[in-house]
Amino acid sequence: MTVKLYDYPLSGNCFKVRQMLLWLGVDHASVPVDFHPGREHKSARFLAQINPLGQLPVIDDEGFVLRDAQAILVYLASRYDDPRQRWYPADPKLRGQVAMWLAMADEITRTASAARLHDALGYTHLDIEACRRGARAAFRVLDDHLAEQHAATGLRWLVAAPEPTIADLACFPYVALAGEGGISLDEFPALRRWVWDFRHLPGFVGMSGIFPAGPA
Amino acid sequence: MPFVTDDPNMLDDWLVVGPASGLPRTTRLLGETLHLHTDADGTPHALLGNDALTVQSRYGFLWVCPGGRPARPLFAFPEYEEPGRRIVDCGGLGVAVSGLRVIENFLDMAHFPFVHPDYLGKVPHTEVAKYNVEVDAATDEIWATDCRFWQPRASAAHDTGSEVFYKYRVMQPFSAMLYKSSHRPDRLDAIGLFLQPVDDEHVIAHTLLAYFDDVSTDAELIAFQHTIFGQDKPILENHAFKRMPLEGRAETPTRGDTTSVTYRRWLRERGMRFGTARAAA
Amino acid sequence: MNPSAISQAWHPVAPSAEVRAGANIVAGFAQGQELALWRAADGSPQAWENRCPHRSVRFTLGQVTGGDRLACAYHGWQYEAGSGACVRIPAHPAMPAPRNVCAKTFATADAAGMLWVRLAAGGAEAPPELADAVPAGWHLARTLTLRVAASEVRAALAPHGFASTETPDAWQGTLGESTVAALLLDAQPQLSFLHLWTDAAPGSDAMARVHRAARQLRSDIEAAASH
Repeated sequence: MTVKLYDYPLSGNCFKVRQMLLWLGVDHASVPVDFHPGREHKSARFLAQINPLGQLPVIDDEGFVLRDAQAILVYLASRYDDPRQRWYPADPKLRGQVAMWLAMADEITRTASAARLHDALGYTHLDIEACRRGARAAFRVLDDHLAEQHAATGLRWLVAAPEPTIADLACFPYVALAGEGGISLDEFPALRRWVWDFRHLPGFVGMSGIFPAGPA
Repeated sequence: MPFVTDDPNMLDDWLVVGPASGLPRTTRLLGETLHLHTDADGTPHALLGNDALTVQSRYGFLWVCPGGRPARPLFAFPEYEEPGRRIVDCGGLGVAVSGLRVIENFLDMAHFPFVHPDYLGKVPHTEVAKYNVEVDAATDEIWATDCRFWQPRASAAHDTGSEVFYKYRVMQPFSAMLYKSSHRPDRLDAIGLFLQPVDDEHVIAHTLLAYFDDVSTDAELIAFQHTIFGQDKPILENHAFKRMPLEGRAETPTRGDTTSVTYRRWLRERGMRFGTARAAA
Repeated sequence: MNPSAISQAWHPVAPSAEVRAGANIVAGFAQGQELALWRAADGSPQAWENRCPHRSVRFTLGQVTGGDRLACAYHGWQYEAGSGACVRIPAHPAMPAPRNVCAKTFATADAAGMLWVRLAAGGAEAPPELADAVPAGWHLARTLTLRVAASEVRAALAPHGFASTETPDAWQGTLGESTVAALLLDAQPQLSFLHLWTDAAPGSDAMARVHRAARQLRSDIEAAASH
């Protein structure tokens, strides 16, 4: 099967889906959307036919259409992961934790991704200082959680499980790209370690702005 | 005194302020906010407060001469009008670094296998062969010719590739052009990089394609340009100092850096100050 | 403190275990100096100015390669552990690397579970009291970061029940009823790190209380500084 993905190379939310598909071994075909400068995702045609919210990513899995990066991760992991279900674990507590961090991913998009849109794509109507303040507040919550969980249990991913889940994938890109929005990660050592660990997962391909690990 | 610099390299030259479309709008130039609009007959206007700035529309962009006394005409861009070429504006992308470093990166091939792997280069094909760099006495523009670099084929699954030939041209401290082989055997595609200097450490990078390509969609061409530029962005924004040192020994070029050595000398000889760092020990 | 004492100081830039042999590169900070921290495959610690001498791109974007070299992300220039000398320029594979191209290196020492860096070019070896900075057998609770100058943290630690020790900027006190050793790092003008070690066991309720109390300490110190 081949999943159709409405895609844009500089979108961290699209990256989440591309990377998930790769890790799940599912082929995809990207449909390039002229996000910038064309604002094609806000065109009448896109709003009417693809996503009324005017956002990327959107997938079309042989007629099953879904928008929202986090929702797409839930669907892809539920449908295509192997029986171990490490990406979206079935255990109720872990699943609750995943949902909690998926909500954090939305907050990261609202703040850190918005700051990057302001600085890189000229979205000057956004309140850049509020975005950066909000991003630092979210990142501090993440850094505290990662530091404390690692000291207590040795675990290094967001959810209390030995392997990364869609929670990590959902929160990752706009943390890794935070510098492009003028948000420094200097004050978040545990978050920086988590970014390094995630980039070095086998099969991590990254996106423009986030280097994959090269050969040693 | 308006503007964040008094460097005549900036005040007496034509500086891009974005596309000629999408007006009216405001934008930032040399630390100031400009208001851009057109009359009903299409005449462009650029205002700094109540003051009208010298402005022209060329190549689909607006260009402002901040000091009002342009030392030279805007550079020639014959490919823009050439029949059969497709002109695609890939939009402006903000970069937090001196524009001089952005131009230097644009002129550099040695980073292709490391920053653009599987697109423009691939380890172990890292060698930069000797090429030719000259300053054209008539135009005072820098030309790098006979540049070639090993590039992977579109299918990244196999380690196949071939040499691609490049020419580079620097028209202004903040404007450069790259020429590479196109779909037509006898013509070169042109990529223009026109940097809008917001201040010493920030630019908006405008990329314009003048291509022979009847196959790709605009979205595909833009996606490729943004993929490449997005890979350069974290490098550009992580120079330990954002302004380019033109003196001192803080930075050391190597043999393959001939274009950038020429570019830095050319900037020194013009007395470039904007976007530069004081000499480090 | 007089300037020469400051630059002769040994700064606790990171817990030793955070910088893994032949593996990661960690961004470090000491008095506004940016550092790239890494270890060769043999474990020898490296603290380099976070800047490649070619075009000044930060080393922390690069990677450790071949076990004992750091490769810059921009053009792949490789620098060897120890001396910091450039040993390979991929654009000219057959050419010996130029002798005068060198990363700027700083002296390092592992002691008491921490990686310490001295910024002064010449100077004394790591003093023995660094090894006493953290009692043997203690566990790292976490590295706390505070958005205030180190001087603010120093001024706040005594009122919060911390006492200074033989080791400069190493304090002892109590957080959440457990004894804690707090090592202060002056990272940047408005950023301090406090490495918190404790006898509370990992995963215990006592350590969870240390964590909660640490966050409270941070918020007290930051609130006081903003007034």
